[in-house]
Amino acid sequence: MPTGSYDYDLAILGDFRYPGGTSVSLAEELKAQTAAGYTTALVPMRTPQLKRKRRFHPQLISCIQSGMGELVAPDQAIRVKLLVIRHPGLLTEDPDPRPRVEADQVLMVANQTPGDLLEPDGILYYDPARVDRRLHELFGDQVLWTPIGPEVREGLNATGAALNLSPTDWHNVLDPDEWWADRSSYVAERPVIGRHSRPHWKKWPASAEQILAAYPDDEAIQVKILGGGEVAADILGRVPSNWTLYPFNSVPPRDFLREIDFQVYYHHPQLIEAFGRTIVEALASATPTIVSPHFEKLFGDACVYAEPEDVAESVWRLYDDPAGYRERAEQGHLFVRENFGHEVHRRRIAEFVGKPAEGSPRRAAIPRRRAQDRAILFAANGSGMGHLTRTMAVARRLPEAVQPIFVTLSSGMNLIRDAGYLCEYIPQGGGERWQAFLEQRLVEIIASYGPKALVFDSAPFTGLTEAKLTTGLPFVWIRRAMWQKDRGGSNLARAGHFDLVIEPGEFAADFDQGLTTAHREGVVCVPPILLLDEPELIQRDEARAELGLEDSNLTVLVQLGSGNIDELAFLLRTTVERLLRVPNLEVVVGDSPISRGRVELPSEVRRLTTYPINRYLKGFDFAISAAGYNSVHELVGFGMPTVFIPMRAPLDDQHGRARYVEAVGAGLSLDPISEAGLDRCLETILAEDRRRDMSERCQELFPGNGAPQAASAVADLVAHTSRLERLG
Amino acid sequence: MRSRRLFEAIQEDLRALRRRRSGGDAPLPAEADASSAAGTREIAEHHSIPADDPGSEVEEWAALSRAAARHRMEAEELAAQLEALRSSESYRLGHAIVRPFRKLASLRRRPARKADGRVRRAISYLRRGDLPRTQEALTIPSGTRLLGPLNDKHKTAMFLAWGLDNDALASVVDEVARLQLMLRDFKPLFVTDSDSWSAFEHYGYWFEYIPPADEWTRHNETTGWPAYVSERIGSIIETYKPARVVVYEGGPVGEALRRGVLNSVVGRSERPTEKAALLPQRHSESR
Repeated sequence: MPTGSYDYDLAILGDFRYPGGTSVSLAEELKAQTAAGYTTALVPMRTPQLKRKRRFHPQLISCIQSGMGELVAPDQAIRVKLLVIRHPGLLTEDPDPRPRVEADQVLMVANQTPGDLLEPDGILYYDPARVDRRLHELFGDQVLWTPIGPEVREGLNATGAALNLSPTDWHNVLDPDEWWADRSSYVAERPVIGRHSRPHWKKWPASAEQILAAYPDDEAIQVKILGGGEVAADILGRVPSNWTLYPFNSVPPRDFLREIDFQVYYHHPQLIEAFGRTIVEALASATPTIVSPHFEKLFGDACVYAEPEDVAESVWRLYDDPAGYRERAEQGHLFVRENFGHEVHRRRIAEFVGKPAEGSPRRAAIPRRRAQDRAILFAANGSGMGHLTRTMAVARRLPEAVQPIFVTLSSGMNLIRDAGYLCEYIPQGGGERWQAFLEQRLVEIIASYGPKALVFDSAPFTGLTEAKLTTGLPFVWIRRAMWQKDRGGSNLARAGHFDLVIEPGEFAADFDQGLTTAHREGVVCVPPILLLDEPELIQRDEARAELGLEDSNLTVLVQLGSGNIDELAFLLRTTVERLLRVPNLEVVVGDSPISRGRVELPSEVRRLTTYPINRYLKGFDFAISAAGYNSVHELVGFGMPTVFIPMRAPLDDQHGRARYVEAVGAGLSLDPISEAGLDRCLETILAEDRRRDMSERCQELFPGNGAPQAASAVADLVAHTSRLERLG
Repeated sequence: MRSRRLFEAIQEDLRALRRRRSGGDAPLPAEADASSAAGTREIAEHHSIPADDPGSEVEEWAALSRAAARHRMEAEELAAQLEALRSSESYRLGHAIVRPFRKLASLRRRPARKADGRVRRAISYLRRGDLPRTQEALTIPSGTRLLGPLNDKHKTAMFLAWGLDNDALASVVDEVARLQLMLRDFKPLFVTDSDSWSAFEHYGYWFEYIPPADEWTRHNETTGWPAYVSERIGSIIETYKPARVVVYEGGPVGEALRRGVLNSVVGRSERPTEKAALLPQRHSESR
């Protein structure tokens, strides 16, 4: 991808297998420069320092495979404006093969001191003078050394090597928005201090006294340690009871930092910490950070500087002053934004490279809403769209702080996608092995997305309840009522697996003979759950214009669902043929978006496959519909005069529901299905005054949409889980 | 039979509590309902505790009742599984042995269960040796337009249909169906990033869907998709154990390789622990 006479704007030469901060920092720089529109070649090299066989760092693999840099062959000839070499240790020996990069400017980023005081005398990680000679030999004279911080600068100067040293440091960067955490309240009722680092003795103070001074053995303070806790435990000979240790890399530092109030970081007195990425990450996440005074050169007034024995006092001083604590938190975050943010990197690249070439692919960073908790919404399959529609009704009313991720067994998944949600699909089967598969997939999804709750709508599967037992995640059951008499006992028995049961209101509750009627204790009962609210419906004239309906005609919407195709075909044809005999009646059939076959109908019938079809409801004069939960509640809820036809369902008592609607005058019931019955219903519903009466009864009796209450109950559970996690 | 003992212990607790409340030895309702509400009401009525009493007594009864019901269900399920194990065919032994032990393991874990440990459990679950994924391959349907059964010892062939538009995907499925009709030696498993599934449904073929990169990235971190897709494909391969993997690509040549879709096909499936969003194993006890 040549840009002018250059193949790329810049090239990065490095060993991309480095396991720690070197690779993470490189990944951050790639993200920043790609978002700015620069093109990057990644030239791999093998450092003699890494003895273990390993892959590229996963973050770099992800960056490359996300298109943020092009991995070229080690000896590929390329021309770039800027060559960045990460780590002088790469050139402690002659590289084989020789890189063939021609660059206007070469930048050696020194991200490690040449040696530290802990190594035996005379042994260095690298000899700057020798590396510099090799650099000139390989890439010419335009070589500039840039240390990543003052400690490395001092280390380089101390060697006396004659280097062309940049006056400014090449700080590691990160995206402050990704790290930011709300500090409006403390994590717990006592201060929680923590630290994260890789497990190495150099990362800890040398003596037990200093460790306990910095990380007190005091029940009034909680200590959380991510990575290297075992090192301290070895020195102490025990783990203090107020300490909680997490294995290295077992949780992302970003999440870990949200669980502590203060970062306290002390390392071995003789280690020269090159940069202290752990400190920058803590500051970025607005965690007040207490460190040794020698870091002041780099972090200015962003940190609290104290000797280990003064840590407790510093903690309590801030903890007892919430306003001061918040101010300190914001100060740290702003400092990182100004000094270590992506913008800093874009500016320094521009200094060497200029503006990115016109027309180069620009990958804007995709903003993610901050500090969102997630909820999995599991819409299982059914003969229709009810489960999917109800979960979507809840999802679209969740507060901004909760991000819904869908899981479905339904072939209507594309409807969820179209609504703008991310959706995982699980193919539906049966039998014990499939239940184990379902459990496995749900556990994978929970591990992958880290939700705070799972919301389920359907009859609970064994695989679902097993996943609950395995993960312990709070589960919510949206349990529609109106079950057929004495059926569904095994479903009901699984209620104990759910932390919250939400029962959507049933219009026909007075006729409900199902088992759920006797099991409502502890159940959150809300009004009927509808996908749409009345203001979302398209007005009559607009709807009719969009559908191309004649103004002078009466129009009927026929929607019989997506049940067994053979049964449906007979019923639909019979109904439609009868309707077509009515003068000046326009017939529109709503085909289910998940129907696996399309019933052949006379050409005069208008077909409509749209979701949600009820947006167009005001364009119709009456409807003929199946008597499923969603159909009945949406049609009644929006005052549509309707002939309801109960369909066969495994558990839903459609017969009872349709009977009730007719009994209260809010609609008609065609039960049993017969031509004579259809004639009777048509005779009634074709009369304008009868339609008006029905519509009025609907409006009079319908209790309103309960979706906001259901969403609120889910959000409360999510917030509660989140709070519990923070409290540890 | 640990869970049965646990249930019996809970029953004993209930009896003791009842004796304390009533000062007598009145029996529990013979058929306490598995659901908490009914069970609570019956117990409450039996002991003259007003059902609408908001006090701690009813809550205590309700909690115990719920726990008893849950443990009874689990104990019965376990007993049924063990019974099935005793009467099973020898070829099922391995599988059947695993599940009761898993159940026992999960029961053992439960008292210590906390919300903040769930992803730790999820991850350790995914890594344990007694996973469903290590069982036999998930059986998938052969297809519905085969004119009779497949040949003996047929295999599962995985067709990765990536980046194809709807027409191209339908053509691939048509061709696979044609080939299957002739060779009769394989069942196809389709893995796709397309949400146009009518061709699969037409032939009754099993398929797995993976959200494409742009869609996944809209809801997640910018660079996480390659790791995600690699993990998903790895999981699919372990679940179905296909004998062959065939790749059909739309878009630029090599795109599936370039974007990491084939990482788990050509390399080892890796589960980065950093994906855990919740807290891991804790060690807070003193040594």
